[in-house]
Amino acid sequence: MNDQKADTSQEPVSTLDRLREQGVSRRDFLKFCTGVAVALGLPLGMGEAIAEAVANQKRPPVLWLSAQECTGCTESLLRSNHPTFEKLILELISLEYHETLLAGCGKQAEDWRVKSMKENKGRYILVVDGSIPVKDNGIYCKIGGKTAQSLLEEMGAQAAAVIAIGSCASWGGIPSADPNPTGATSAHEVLKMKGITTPVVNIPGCPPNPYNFLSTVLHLLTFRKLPELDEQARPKFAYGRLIHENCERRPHFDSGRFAVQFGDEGHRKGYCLYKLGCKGPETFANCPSILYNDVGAGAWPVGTGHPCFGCTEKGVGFTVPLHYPARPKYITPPTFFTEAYPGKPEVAPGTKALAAGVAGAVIGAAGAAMLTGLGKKDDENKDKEE
Amino acid sequence: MTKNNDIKMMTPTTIVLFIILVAGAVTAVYRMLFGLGAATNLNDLWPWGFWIGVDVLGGVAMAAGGFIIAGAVYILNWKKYKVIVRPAILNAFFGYLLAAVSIFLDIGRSFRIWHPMVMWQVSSIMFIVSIHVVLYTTTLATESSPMIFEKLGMKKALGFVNRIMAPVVLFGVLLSTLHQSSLGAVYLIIPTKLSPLWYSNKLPYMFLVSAVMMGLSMVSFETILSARVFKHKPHMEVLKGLARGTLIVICVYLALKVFDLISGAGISAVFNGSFTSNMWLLEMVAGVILPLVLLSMKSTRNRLNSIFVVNILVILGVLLNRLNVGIFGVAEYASMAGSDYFPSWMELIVTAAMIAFAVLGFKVCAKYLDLYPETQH
Repeated sequence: MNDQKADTSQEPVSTLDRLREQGVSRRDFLKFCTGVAVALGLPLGMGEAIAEAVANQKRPPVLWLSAQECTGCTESLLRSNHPTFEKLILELISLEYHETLLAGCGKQAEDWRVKSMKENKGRYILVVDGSIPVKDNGIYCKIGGKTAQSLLEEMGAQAAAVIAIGSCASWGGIPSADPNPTGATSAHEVLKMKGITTPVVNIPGCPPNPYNFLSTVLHLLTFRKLPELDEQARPKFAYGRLIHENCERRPHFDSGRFAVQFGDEGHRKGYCLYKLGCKGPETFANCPSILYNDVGAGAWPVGTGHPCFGCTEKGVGFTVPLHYPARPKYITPPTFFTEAYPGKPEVAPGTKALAAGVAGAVIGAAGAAMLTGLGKKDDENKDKEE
Repeated sequence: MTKNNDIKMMTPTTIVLFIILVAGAVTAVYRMLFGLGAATNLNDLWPWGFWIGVDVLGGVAMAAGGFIIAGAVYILNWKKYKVIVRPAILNAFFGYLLAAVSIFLDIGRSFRIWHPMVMWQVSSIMFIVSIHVVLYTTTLATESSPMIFEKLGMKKALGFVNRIMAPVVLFGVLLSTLHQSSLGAVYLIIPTKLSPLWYSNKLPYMFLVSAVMMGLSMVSFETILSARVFKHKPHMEVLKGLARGTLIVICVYLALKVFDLISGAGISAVFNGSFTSNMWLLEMVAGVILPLVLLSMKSTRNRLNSIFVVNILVILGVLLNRLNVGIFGVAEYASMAGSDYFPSWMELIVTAAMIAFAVLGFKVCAKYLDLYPETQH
């Protein structure tokens, strides 16, 4: 991290030049920014504004604090595979401190954190992943001899904004599950207890979709303010709608077609997973519309046949038993209606007639061939005679 | 020697085929002028119909004999099959021509058919399909060209083509295996539409194996048929060899199908009496089980007439398989979505004209070119 910092200070090249050096063309870069604009629900032209903001600014410093976490958020972020993503994220922002990705270690790393905080006071973005233990003065998670709680209070107070990534940092997540032995608490509650008023954005999910995080960061860079948030401080562009509203299996729910057991006929046919305990009807997230890993349709839990367990939603994920039916308290229609299925599950008459014709032709031809050809023996002799 | 005077061009069959061909050509012009909507019964839920099912999928599968026999003769040097290499390749050439013309008619904007050649979209399966059709049709034309050069007496060109024949055939075999399987891969993109009886991640392999099975049968079928029509004696040893080959491939295909059924839709899915299960059963019984039973009897493999029957069964079975994947396998989805499909008379006449074109073309080639060099000596 030290070397990188030193390099950039020596030769003040633009972000675009640096990207070009790394094999990212201008076109790729614009495509990426436009993609982010779309994820944010902004008009297409905003892609250029984002590109401009990203290319012309000094990279904003980002400090990443990990507390009680599994590194899933970092791992999923590293695997977001937009063109050369890893490079872009390292070039878009100046990642000053991140325990998983640090080049240095021990005292060297901690010293850098302190130095960077001092230099960038009030300007840096603090990303937190993992919940903060507050029981017994927070002794259950310590970094460099300091508790995660005190680190968050110290770093959060001087940050421009705090982004809590993952369910743990957003509302406690799995460490906060009953009986919550460490007193795991979300980042914004820890800050609130101390009276720190730095704005906090929550990006819950286990792990959250990396593009929700990326889009929030770029929104911050472009417009110099946070995206519109809901009452739980989650960006509305990502957490504005129930999974149930965008789910591709929603028509099955509306028609009363359910999988009732893993591997049963309904499950194989892709029916609604509500009766297997899908928490889609009470969970706000954009999983069904943004999907995961850029591999196309169906690449999200429900798409692969597993009920949603409500990871983004406080009081649902890690709280309600996995197969306990969802409590659909928000009755909302689907965002779009898929093809109407007016007919019974029967094949339409024209196609049936075609099939009957083809089948008749096959049976007729095969039968005629077998009846006339198999019995004939004379022909063979005739051939020999010839 | 290069003109087979025994073959008469003005037979009633030829005249009927010619009339169909003309009618098909007129219909194709109508389709070009007034569009797909006017000429076909295709719609948004049935974007691919009879032309893709029969002409493209069927035509390409029928052409598989070309690369198998060419590979056997020119690469493996199995001299026994040399007598049928020319008709096999010519047959494949017509199969591909059929497919190419059908694709031209079936795509919405026909005159942009050259786009994939220039604007490569390497992540698209349709790009793979289109580039293979072009390359392999060219390869087949090269493989067939010695006949033309002989006829025209172009010794230099003939010598050149014969010299490069081995690499050309090798390239053709490579392209064919890729192309046969990529046609199956096209259907990988419709997991929600295609019935699980046919949808499988092994679809490309199944297309390849069934095409090999069909190709062997097709070559054998056409050898026997042309022997009857053109009145020369078929080589029984060649036919026996082809029958043995068909038997082996059928076994592989059956194993693949059964494994896929068990690991996918489940055995009960084919016995529940539904529309798709009946189509699946018909395809398997007519095209796989019956031929397997018949071919496993030595008496069948040694008799010309029985081999002919088996060939017909296999060809019908694989054609039905292509129709099942292309049309009947998506019928439940499309019907549920409120759509129906029965090919328009124009679709039927164009398909009939395609077949007429192949038969007539083959006949013309048999008459004017040295298609059966060994039989006429």
